[in-house]
Amino acid sequence: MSAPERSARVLVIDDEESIRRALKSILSMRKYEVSLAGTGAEGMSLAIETNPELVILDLTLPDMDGLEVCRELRTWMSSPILILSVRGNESDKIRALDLGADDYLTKPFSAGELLARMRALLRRSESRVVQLPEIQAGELTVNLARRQVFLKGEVVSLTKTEFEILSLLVLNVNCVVTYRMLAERLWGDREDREPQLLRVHVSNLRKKIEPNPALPRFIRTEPGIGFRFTAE
Amino acid sequence: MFSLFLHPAVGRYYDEISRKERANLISRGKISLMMKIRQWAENRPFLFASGLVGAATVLFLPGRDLLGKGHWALLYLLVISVVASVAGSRPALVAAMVSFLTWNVFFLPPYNTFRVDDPKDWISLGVFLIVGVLIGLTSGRLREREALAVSQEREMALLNRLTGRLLAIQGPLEMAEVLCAEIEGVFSPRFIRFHLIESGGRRTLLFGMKAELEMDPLEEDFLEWVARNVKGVASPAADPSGANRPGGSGIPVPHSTLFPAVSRGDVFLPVLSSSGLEGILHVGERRNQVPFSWSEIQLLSAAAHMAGLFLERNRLEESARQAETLKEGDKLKSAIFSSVSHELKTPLSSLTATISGLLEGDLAWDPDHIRQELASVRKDLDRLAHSISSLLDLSRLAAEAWKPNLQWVEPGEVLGEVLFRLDRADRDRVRVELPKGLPLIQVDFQQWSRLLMHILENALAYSPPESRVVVGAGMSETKFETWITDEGPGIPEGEKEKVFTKFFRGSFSGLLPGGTGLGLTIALEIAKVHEGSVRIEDNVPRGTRVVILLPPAHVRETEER
Repeated sequence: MSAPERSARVLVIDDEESIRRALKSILSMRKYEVSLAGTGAEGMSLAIETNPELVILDLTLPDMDGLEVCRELRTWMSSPILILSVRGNESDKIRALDLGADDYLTKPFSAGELLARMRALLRRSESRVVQLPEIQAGELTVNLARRQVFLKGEVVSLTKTEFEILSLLVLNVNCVVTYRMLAERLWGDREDREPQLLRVHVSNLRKKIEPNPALPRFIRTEPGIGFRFTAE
Repeated sequence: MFSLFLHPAVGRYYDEISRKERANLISRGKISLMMKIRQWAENRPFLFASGLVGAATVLFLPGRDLLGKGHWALLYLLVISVVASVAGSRPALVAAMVSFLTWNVFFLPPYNTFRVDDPKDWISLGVFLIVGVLIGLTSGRLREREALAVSQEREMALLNRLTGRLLAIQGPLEMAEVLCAEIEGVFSPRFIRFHLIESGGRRTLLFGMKAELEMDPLEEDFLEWVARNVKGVASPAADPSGANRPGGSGIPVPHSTLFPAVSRGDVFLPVLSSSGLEGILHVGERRNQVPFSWSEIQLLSAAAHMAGLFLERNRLEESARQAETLKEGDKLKSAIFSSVSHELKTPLSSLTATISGLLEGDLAWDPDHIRQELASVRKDLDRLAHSISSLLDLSRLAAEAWKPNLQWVEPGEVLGEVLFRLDRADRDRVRVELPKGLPLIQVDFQQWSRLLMHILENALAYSPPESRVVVGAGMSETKFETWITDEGPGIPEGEKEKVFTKFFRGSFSGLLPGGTGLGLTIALEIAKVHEGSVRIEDNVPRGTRVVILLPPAHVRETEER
């Protein structure tokens, strides 16, 4: 695994001691400054003390619901929150993302996956200030400033909606983008509407930018949640 | 205390039936009137006989002079035969006597006296009386024999129908329904109640027709007595045909045996089987208040006996079924146990060995060696995680919590996710053949990818390393099929069905590490949840071809192209 671009303050809130220890060793080895909390209350007071740049939050906590912690933190903190959850609990993931979490990781996960997600989240929170003009993923180039897309050096013509979707996905490269985030960007509404229309647009988008549209590589489906643009 | 167990919908249903029947009778107005007269005549036979003769006399009198006295005698004979055919021989004899007198008084001169002047009329009178009595006796007996034949036929038909229907019946409640409906059809009692006696002796009302009628205060006592003595209670009328009252210990005793002053028209019958008392059949008195005859009581007993046999058979079948399930469950439990202990213990012991070896500290390991050891630790962990998630799938499967969250997706989207989750080495072995213009499929994304993952993992595990595994999809007539082929040894003909059973591991799987033997079971269950199926075929030239089918309802052609 490559080293992070820079060290960052990370807060881990998890009730499992073994997970805390594992995360501590994985992260400190890579020069992250790690603080550990075993309960929601401890996590929130540590968040105020250390002002972390990223929070790793487990949804099952002994003293309170992880979703509640997520909601509380979001009232004042803008740093990304990465949720740890068990497989098959889609509704919790969606609720956490709706409450302001930025991404999730399903247990059991590997160190490589965790570090990749953290890098993506940290990069994104930086790029909120400095927007990258151009993003490269394999043979695909997306120029956000000029609103142009190239596949193998050739211009791809996209509709306005398709470009909006692609740019939001690309800005959140390697991070999950929920149906709700997309709908808000495209139509400015916060209502929960059927994701079917979005899926049709994404399907058309895939046909234009994927080397093999039948087997998508860049725009991956996060079942029940949204999409994720993978550049790796 | 008495507990009322009656499905309200059932009660309503039968009310409707009887209403329908009533409506039917009214629509056949004539028959209904005839039946009413007949019923009335049967209830009050002697009043009917004398009444009819009286009415005939009143009718005849104004025309006394139009016909000869002999003609009137013939008309009286006609009246006698009507009485005989409607009410039987004894009323006919009464009619004959009354006619004899009225003919004498009103139609033989001098009128209005018993005196007869003409000696020839004495002979006529004598002949009239003899003929009248003979008509009464013969036609009455004929009628009684006919009635007996009719009732026997009716009873036979009832028992036949009951046997036929009981064969097709599922449970006690349905049986009680059918029994009550048949009894209602033949006897029209005011109510019928079927009480079930459970193994502990507890009595519950299983089914009742017109059961909303209140139970009278003595009913509970009668039921209690029947349950204790295993004997019926009934006070039948003496059989008109003179049939002997049956003997033996099983016959019902009259109500007065229990309560000397009580006279009732209802019937309590024990529902018996070879293992004892199964229930009590309580039939209320007839709506027309005609008491039950002995032969009818016997018929009811036969019906109750059938119900008893049915209940016994039903109970035995139920316990056989339970035993079977228990046995299956035991087998499954021990299979799970051995599979789980094998699948969890093997990687655990190798993990423990590897890690404790590294921790020993007696040797200075070089980083390359440590990396190698850790790679094997990682492999063991993957295997553990895989087994655990299969077991979780299985427990969800057992809990029937597999409710698919259906959505329309592109087949490649799901397949892409599955491939993405494979190891690099495994992914390189898979070739995907997806034609353009595939339809959308309606599946639960997570479950469908689990299904594909299980089959793909099987294909990869059971074929030589380096060999190709091909995944394809397309339409097969109206169904959407996904197929996965490998170049492994294939599955022998006899094992093709068995691979779907839990924990079955094929003849070759012994050579391979890992595998809980659950993958294909889970895959098949997921396919079923989607109303689809999984089929195993031979691949040409070698290997296995697994075909997953989705029904047309889960397939939609895309609008464009």
